[in-house]
Amino acid sequence: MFARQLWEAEAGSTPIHRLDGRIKLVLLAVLGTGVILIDSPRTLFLLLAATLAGHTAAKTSLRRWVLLALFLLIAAWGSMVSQAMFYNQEPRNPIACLIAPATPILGRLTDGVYIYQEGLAYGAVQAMRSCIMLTYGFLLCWTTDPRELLRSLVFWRLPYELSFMAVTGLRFLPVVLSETATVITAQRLRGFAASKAMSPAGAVRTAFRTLWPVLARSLRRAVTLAMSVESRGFGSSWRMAAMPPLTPGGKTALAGCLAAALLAGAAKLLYVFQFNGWAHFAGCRFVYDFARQWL
Amino acid sequence: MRTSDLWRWFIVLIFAASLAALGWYVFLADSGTRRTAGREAGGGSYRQVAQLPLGQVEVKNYQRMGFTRGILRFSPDSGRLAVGTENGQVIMLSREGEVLWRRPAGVGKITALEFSPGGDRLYVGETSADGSLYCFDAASGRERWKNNVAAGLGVDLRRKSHPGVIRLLVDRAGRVFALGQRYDRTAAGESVYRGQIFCLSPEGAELWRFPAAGAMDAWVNWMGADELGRRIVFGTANFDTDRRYRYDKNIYCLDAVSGAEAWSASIDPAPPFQRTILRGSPNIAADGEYVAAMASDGRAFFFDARGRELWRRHLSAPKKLDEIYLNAVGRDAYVLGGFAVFTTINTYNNANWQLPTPVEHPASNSLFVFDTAGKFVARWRAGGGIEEIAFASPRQIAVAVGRNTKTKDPGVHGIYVLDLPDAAAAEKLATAGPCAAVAVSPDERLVAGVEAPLQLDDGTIIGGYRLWLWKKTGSR
Repeated sequence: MFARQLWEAEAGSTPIHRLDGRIKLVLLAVLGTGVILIDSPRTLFLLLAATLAGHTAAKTSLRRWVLLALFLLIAAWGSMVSQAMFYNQEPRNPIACLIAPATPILGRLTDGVYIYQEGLAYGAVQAMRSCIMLTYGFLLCWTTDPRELLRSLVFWRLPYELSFMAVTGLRFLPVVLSETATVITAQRLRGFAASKAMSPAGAVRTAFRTLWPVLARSLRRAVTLAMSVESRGFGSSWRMAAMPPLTPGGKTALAGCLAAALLAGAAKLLYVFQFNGWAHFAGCRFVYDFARQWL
Repeated sequence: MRTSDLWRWFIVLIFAASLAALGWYVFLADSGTRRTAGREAGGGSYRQVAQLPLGQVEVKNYQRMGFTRGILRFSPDSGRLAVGTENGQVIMLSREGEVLWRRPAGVGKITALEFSPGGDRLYVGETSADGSLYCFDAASGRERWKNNVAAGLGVDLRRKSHPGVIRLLVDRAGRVFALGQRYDRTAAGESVYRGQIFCLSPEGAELWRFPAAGAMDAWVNWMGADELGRRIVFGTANFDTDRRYRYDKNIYCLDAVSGAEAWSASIDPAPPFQRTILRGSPNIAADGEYVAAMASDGRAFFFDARGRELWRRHLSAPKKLDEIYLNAVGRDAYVLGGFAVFTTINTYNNANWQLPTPVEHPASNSLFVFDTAGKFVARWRAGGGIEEIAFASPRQIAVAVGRNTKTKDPGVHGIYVLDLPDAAAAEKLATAGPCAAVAVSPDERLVAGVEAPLQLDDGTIIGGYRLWLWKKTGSR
C-alpha cells in the first residue's frame, strides 16, 4: 500500500490508456455531476460496474485491484452501516436491534439502537456515489500521465496555476505515502511494536510519532518545489506546448458523452419540475417515467 | 501461496461478494418468484403454488390506521393473474406463478385493474397528473391504447392533487366503465371532490360520461355494475357536514347504455353521524334485480332494481364510551345468488379515525349473510379486519383478513374460504402478516392474496409485502 509505484500512473497500450486525457477529464466532470443528481440505485450500480469494467479494460494489476477493493469496501460498508444505524427519516423499519431500549444505561440513553432497512438502502446509494468517483479517480490517475493531465486541464481553460497545483497534489500523494512507509520502517528499527498501538492511547501516540516527521518532510519538499518553480518564472509568462487537436473519433466520443449528459440532465430537470408541481407537460410523460425509474 | 497473497485474494473475494450482493439487492431482490410445493403453508385442500416479493413498502403498525394496498385480478379463463402493487408495478403471472411480464407505472400510482371479457386485454387505471386509463395486451404487456379519461377533473400539481381512475368494470360486450376521482382541499380546509364516470368502447373511444358536463361534487369511492352492463350503481361519501352538495343523494343508479340517471336514493343519517357515507358499496346483483349497500355507520340496505328500499338492518350501532362514539365501520355489500353479504371492519374512534380504540366493538370485523327477504342467515367473525372479499360463484367466497388493532393477534391473518350461505369457514390459508387483498379464479381452482408487513409493538416485523398463490387440490 505504501509502495510508490502502486499509486503512480503506469504506461500501457490499452484503449483506456490511449484515451485522450481531455476526454477523460470531461468524463470525470460528467460523472461527478451525474452521481450527485442521479438517485436511482440501478443507474448508480450500472455506473459503478462501468467504472470497474474500465479497470478490467485497463488491465489493472492485482495489487492495484486489492488497493481499490480495500478503499471501496471501507467506503461502502462504512456508509451503509452508519446510515443503517443513524437514519432518522420516516418511514424507517428496523430489521435488527443492536441495543434494546430496556438495556441498562445505554438502552435508556439511546432509546435503543437499530439497523434500519431504509437506512441501509440510503447508505448503499451514498456509498455507490462515493465508490463511482473513487473508482474513476483511480482509473484516471493510473492510466494518465500527469503531464498529459496538466495539459488537458489547461486545454479546458483551467488556470495554469490551479492545474499545476492539482497535478502536483496528485503526484505528491505517492511521495507522501512512500515517506510514511519510510518513517514507519524507521520507527520499527527503533523498537516500535504494532500490537501496542492497538489501544486508543497507543494509536494517538503512534499517529503523532508518524505524522510529525511526515509533515516536516512534506513542508521541506513543498518549499523546495516552490523555490524551484519560482526560479523558473512560474505563472508569469508560462507557455506550454499546445495539445494536438482531438481526433475525429475523440470528437465523436466527446460529443456523444456531452449529449448523453445533457439529455439526462434535461430529463431530470423536467422530472424535478413536475415532482415539485412547478410545471407539467402531458407530452413528456415518457420522460417522467424514465427519469423516475432510471434517474 | 504466501500469506500476503492469500490476504490479497481474500480482500478481492470479499469485494466481489459485496458487489454481487449489492447488485442482487438493486436488481433482483424483489423480482424472483419462489416456487413452493409444500402443503404446510396452505389449508387442507389448498397447496401453495408460489410466493412473489412485491417490493418495499412502508410497514404499518397497530398505532395508526392506514392500509397497504394491492390489487389482484384473475383473467376470465383463469390462466393469468394480474397484480397492481402499492409501489407502482403491474405484474402479470401465469397460473403457475411464473412472472410473464411486469411494467412500472412510472410517476403514476396504480389504482384499478380489470381484464377484458375475452382475457386478451388488461385495463389499468392510474392516479397521476394525466389521470390515464391504459389498455395492455395481456399476453405481452404491450400498450394497446391510452386515454387520459380523468384529466378533465383537473390537477393541482403543487398540492399533489391528481385525478385518477380508481375503479374499473367491464361488461360482457367489452365496454369499459371507469370511475374518475380527484380529491383536493381548499386553503380554508374544505374538502373538494370531483368525480366522473366514463363508458368507453373496447378500443378506448368514449361512449358517454356522467355527468355529461362538469363533474360531480361528491366523493365516489365505489361503483358496481350488473353482468350484462345494463345498470351501474355508485354511492357517495361526502364528509363535510356544513356544505350543500349538488350530488347530495347517497345512491345513484345509471342506465349503462345511455349514461342517464335511472334513479337515486337518499338515506337519512343515523345519529350521532350527520352524513351517510358509502365507501365500499353499493353493488348490484349479476342479474340486476337487487342492489345492496352498506353504510359506514353500520347499516345495511337492500333495494330492488327500481330503487325502492326493501329492507334495512342495523348491524353495528355506535357505542358511546367516555363521550366518544366507537363504531364498527360497515364497508362491503354484495348480492350473491339469493343472498346479501355485508361486512364490518375494525372499530373506529369517531373523534379521530386514525387512533386505535381501547375496546373492540362487538359487531366489528364480521361478515353477515341475509336472504333477499331480509332474514338473517349467518354471521362469521373474522377476528381481524376484513380487507377484501372475492368470489367466483355464489357458493363460496374468499375473505382477506388483516390486523386487529385491539386484540393484536397475528394468528388471525390470512385468507379464509367460506361456504355460503351459512358462512362456515371451510379453509384457512394462513399468512404471517395481515392480508391486504384477495382474488379467486373464475374456475375456483386458484386463490391469490397479497400479504403486507406489520410491525408489532415490540418492534418486530412480521410478514412482508408479497403475493401468495394457492391451488385447490381436493375435490371440494
